[in-house]
Amino acid sequence: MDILIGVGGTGAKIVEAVIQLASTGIGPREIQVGFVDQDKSGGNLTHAQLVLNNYINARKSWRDTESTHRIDGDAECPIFATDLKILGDSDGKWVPADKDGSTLSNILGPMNADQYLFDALFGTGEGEEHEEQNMVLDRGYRGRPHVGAAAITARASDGGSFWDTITDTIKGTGEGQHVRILLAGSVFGGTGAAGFPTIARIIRQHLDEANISKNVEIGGALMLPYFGFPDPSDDQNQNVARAHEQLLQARGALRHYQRMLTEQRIFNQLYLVGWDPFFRLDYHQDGGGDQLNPALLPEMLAATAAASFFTKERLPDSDDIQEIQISARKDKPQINWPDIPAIGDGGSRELHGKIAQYLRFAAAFKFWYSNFADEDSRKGVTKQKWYKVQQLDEIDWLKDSPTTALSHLNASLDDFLIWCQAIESYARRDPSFSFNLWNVDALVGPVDFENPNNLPEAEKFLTAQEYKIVFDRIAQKFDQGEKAMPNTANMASNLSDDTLVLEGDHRQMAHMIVALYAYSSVHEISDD
Amino acid sequence: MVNALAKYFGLWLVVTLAVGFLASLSVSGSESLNAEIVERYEQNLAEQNGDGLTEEQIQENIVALDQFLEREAERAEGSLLNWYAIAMVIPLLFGIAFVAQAAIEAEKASTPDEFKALRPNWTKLIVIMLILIIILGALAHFTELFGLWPTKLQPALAWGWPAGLIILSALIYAGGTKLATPDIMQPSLPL
Repeated sequence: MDILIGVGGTGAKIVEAVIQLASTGIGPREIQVGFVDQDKSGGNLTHAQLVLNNYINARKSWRDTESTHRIDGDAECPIFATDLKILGDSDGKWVPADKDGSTLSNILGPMNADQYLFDALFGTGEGEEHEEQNMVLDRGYRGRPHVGAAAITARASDGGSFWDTITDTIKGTGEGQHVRILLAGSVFGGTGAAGFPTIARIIRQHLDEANISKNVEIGGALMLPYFGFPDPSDDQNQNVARAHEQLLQARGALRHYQRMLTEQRIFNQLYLVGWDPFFRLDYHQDGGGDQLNPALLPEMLAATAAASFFTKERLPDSDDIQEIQISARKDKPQINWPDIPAIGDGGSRELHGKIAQYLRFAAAFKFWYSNFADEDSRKGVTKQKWYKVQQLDEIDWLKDSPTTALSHLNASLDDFLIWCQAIESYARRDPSFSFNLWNVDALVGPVDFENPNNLPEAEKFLTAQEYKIVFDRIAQKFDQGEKAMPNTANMASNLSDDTLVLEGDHRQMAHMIVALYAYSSVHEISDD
Repeated sequence: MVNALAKYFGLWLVVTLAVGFLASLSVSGSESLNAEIVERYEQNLAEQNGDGLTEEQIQENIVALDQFLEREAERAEGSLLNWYAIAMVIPLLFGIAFVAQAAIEAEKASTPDEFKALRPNWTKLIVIMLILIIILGALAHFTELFGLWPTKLQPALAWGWPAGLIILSALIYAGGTKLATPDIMQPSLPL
């Protein structure tokens, strides 16, 4: 049993990145996904939940045992193999102070004899910009992790299905279950900086209270500062997090972590990810639905850390082990596939294989889908060999229409492509930086750097000409010296080859989807 | 490509030889000659025999005529087969041309539209091929380029063979391209 909790807006971005990798087939068998964010309408959180819902819908359409168009197993096609579930009974979200207008003062209640201590620790009465005790928390902790830590600690004991599920899962280890819990967040900002160590500590306390010392591992994917943004304009709220404070905050936070990890055993594995120089965001938003930051490359690295944590073999049970993993690239002005941290035995090459194959599959799908999407399209191709070899002539398009399943797949593919487009665009924004992972710009509209919450759209279909160009260049080779990946002619030939037999019992439209995926491999397909 | 070309050539060869054999059987002696020509020769012979020849001389003349007519039939058969052999090169060349093109395209074709992209070529080639066969038939009938078999043989054979060759060429072309065109390019065939 694995649990992933995204803490704060950056935590939600990492959760989104984990979901995106899961759609490519990278991830464990099952993850329960939860979020902790004081800003309940935060754009990052909302978007991550949307991506999660799209993933769950796609998985249900193509993996559910009762599904009409079911992909059998994950050997030939691992997409959506990870069973992502929402933590708890509701939307998987815990908002520490969920009443509108909550402040630290009304969360903690009357201080009485502790009022002086309260005043010493939390500012008040010195203007809006410095107010902490009565700062309305609807849009998060505004870069004040000490406020967040106090609020989260005070509210954690209130339970709710979010914490009940975590507690029940922890208790389940007594029945032979093995649990890994990964927290994802940042050392800067508000909720992440506050919640990350606090929640980890609370979970560890629960373990100690339940006398559980085995079969539960706690991991953390912690983001160091990696993006910058402008200060608020004069007409915006001034009581906000500021970019130039992030490094100072990060330094302070890391000192705190150093002390914490020295004195207490909290994490079994802690992954730190940062970036230099910062990615530049050209907008300022203090929170709410418009605070939707674009996907950035370090989040993908954090997601690989999560995948590594969830999939590696069990760590030895020892009180002394607290591994800290750091990721860095070989050459500063470029990113190549070998720079991406390895997962499992296959290493970076396996990661490249899956992501590149999924990208090529996306291009192939968006072209081939147009050839059977509706009755008129199908009329022109029903007698062609690929149509019969891929068993499309056996589908009852009225009774067992795959339209819904295909639209769910398309939605999840679009999420992935838009995510890749943001990562690529912001990486390439620096002309001195060489991004050598993928090229999705032909499939997705341009990023709006001024308004990143205005997401670009992915193409629904590709024309034949677009398909031929995009399929060949959408994913870069693992190593530039390697031979070219199979092209669209190879794809067409494989689709029409009745000697190439898929091994799984893929039902109806799943047969075509698995074939498109399998023949999008970065390696040549043989008859074996 | 070699495999595809070999398939087409193989089918063409088998059909060509089989039909060629039938062609030679269809011209079986003087019965295959044009009745008017035979009648004219017999009339000439009758006039000749009416000039006080002996019975023996008359019989010799009849035998000689029979032998002459047999030789005429053989000559007609020979020139028919020559014409046939030349004409059969046409479906061979046109079929090979299409199959070669299809084999090359099969290596590159990536989309359903490309799989059927050669259909206009297929149609163009069969039309041109049949026109050439018709021209060859007309040349045989109205010139002496291919001998005198159209005038010497019965009308059924004289017109039947050119007409039959049009159909045969179309069948060889259609069947041969169907057999030899790579699977992926089969949508280029209108069959």
